[in-house]
Amino acid sequence: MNRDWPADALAFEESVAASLRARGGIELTRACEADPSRRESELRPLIDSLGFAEIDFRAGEVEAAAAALGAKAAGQVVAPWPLVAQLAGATDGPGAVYLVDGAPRRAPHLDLVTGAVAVDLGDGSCRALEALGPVARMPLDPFGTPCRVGAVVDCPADAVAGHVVLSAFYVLGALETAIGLASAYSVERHQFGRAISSFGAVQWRLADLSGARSALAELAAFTLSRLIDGSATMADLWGLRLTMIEAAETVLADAHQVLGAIGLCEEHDVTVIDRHLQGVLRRPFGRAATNAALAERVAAEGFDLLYPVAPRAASAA
Amino acid sequence: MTSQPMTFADDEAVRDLRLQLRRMIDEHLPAAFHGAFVNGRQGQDMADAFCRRLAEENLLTMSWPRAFGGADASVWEQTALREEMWAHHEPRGAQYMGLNWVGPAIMRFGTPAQREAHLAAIANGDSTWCQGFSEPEAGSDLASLRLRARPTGEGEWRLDGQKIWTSYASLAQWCFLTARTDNSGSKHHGITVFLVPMDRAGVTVREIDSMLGPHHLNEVFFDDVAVARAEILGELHRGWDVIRFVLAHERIGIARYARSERILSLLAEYLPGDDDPEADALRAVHARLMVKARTARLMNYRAIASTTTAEVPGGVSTARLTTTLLDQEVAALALEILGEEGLYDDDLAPLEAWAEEAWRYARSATIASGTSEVQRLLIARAMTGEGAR
Repeated sequence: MNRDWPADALAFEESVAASLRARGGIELTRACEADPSRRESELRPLIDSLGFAEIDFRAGEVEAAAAALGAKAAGQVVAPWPLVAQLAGATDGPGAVYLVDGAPRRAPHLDLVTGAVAVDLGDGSCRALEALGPVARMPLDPFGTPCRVGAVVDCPADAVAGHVVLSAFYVLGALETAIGLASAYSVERHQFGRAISSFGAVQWRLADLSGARSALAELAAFTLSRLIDGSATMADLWGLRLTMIEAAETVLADAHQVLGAIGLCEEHDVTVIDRHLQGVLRRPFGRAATNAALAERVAAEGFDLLYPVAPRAASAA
Repeated sequence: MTSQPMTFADDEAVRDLRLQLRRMIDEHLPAAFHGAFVNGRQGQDMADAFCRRLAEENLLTMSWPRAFGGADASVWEQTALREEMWAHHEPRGAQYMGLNWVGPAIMRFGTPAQREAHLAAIANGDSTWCQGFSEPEAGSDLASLRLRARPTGEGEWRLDGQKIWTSYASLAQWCFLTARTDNSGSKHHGITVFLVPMDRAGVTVREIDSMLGPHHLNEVFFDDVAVARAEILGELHRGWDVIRFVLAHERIGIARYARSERILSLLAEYLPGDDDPEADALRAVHARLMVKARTARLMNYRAIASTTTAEVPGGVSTARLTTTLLDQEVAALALEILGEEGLYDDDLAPLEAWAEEAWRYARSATIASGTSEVQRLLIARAMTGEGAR
């Protein structure tokens, strides 16, 4: 058992994180939301210079790990760029992959990419995805772009897997930032003459933040390793997505509780993280549908545990 | 650059060990074996016999150093052993305590005479230990213990006081006892560990009936019990050093997640059919808990790996908290799926009447060996830099 990340991937993560920090971190995200054209003028050169376009998560362990940790570093500042969609694409295939459930009305950052496709998880089809206009800013969908699906096109078989796994790392990065902000605040903020971190009720929430983060971090790394060795099943992927959604719900809600009113202000980073993650958590579908998809795939494929569960048809036979 | 590929799979030695253990369990334990203490003496006899089989295969003390008769097993082999044992109701019975931490503590702090007296007996499966830590006024706050050891001169002490919640005390031959020998300093100073035979004059055990089943909870009374200097483990007044070693050795705890995984696997056969109105809901919960079980195992692996790599702040407590909560969720789901039949412990009950026992025992998961509240406290302290894990 080797659970260590490749050194090159760790170096890439640090490079992405440092570059985004140098451009203002979440402040840049806030600025891009106010003026979406800054994604093109400020973020595109940065993304290009970091070499994301050269990373192919299908090209072996180091590149897959770099894609994952790069997505995580971007998630730490909820970087307003369709990184996961692009990373899930392929150099000789779609420029970006979106997961949808039926025909979508809007797709995030679709105005920034060419050759986008939409994989419909309902019928399994893959269709061209075309932007119909500029970003139409909404609080919970700050970079949604009106769109429509077109002709059926080819799509790499593992695009869905790549999208699900890399999304989990993007969300993990965002949650780590929220947890850092909440735990630091709990020490700085004094009420009744002492730091609020000394109150049991606050400690309870901090512990749950940590548990949610650890769960997502461990399962994301595990599922990535299965993606790399080709053994990831759809049940594995929906299990990761369900864990991602549950972790985000716990962390975002509890971080807000620890931060109190200040955390609700637009000038506070947790508010930006919370709003900007909602699209990732709801597209192609949310918690209940993900859990249902998981159960369906477990019945069809079984599930690998220390004592594996056989597919339902096989176990009934 | 080059690097070893990331892998979460067992290596060949661990895979082989799992197969060997499952084969032995299959051959030597009946399907209805629910643990050493569920069926009184009969279960204990089965556990003792199984321990002897493990000893014959050099598996009983595989985690011990070779210098003390062990096999220097890798941390992942030790993990697999813990998982397979717990998933099958810990067929080593109470002896797991002697193997897991009493033996190692005696190796670390014991005199040559103590090592001579105890290690071989533990390794052969011939002695059972109980842990004399908790007291009526010292539960999570262990260092507040009051059981007093009074020096009488002549290199002897007299023990007076009470321990409580002492598992297996009525079965054990020895007690790993903490006592207060000095009140002059901080509460962590002045504690001493004694290795006390349970048949010594003045030791009285009273079983406490509980929903967990027999032998799980006991009171132990010490009434003017004589102990000698030779029975002190480690240094006088420095018992907290020993306790910290023991707690660190027990840091990962029992592999509850392994039993959760096995129950979930078995429960798959009992999920309702398509035409049952509850089918979708129960399948969804079952699938979700399988993911949580896998995740709990991975979190435990991270905590185990952190003994040799960079530590994760609060990682051990986070893994324990997740695992114990999972234990309760899985037990609740078992009763939910099995319905009324899940309540029964007779021969006709499904899963060899395992579900109701698992449910009762799961009630203690978030209480025993550090409550979930204490685990959360430790996690929060680690996050805010206010203390050790």
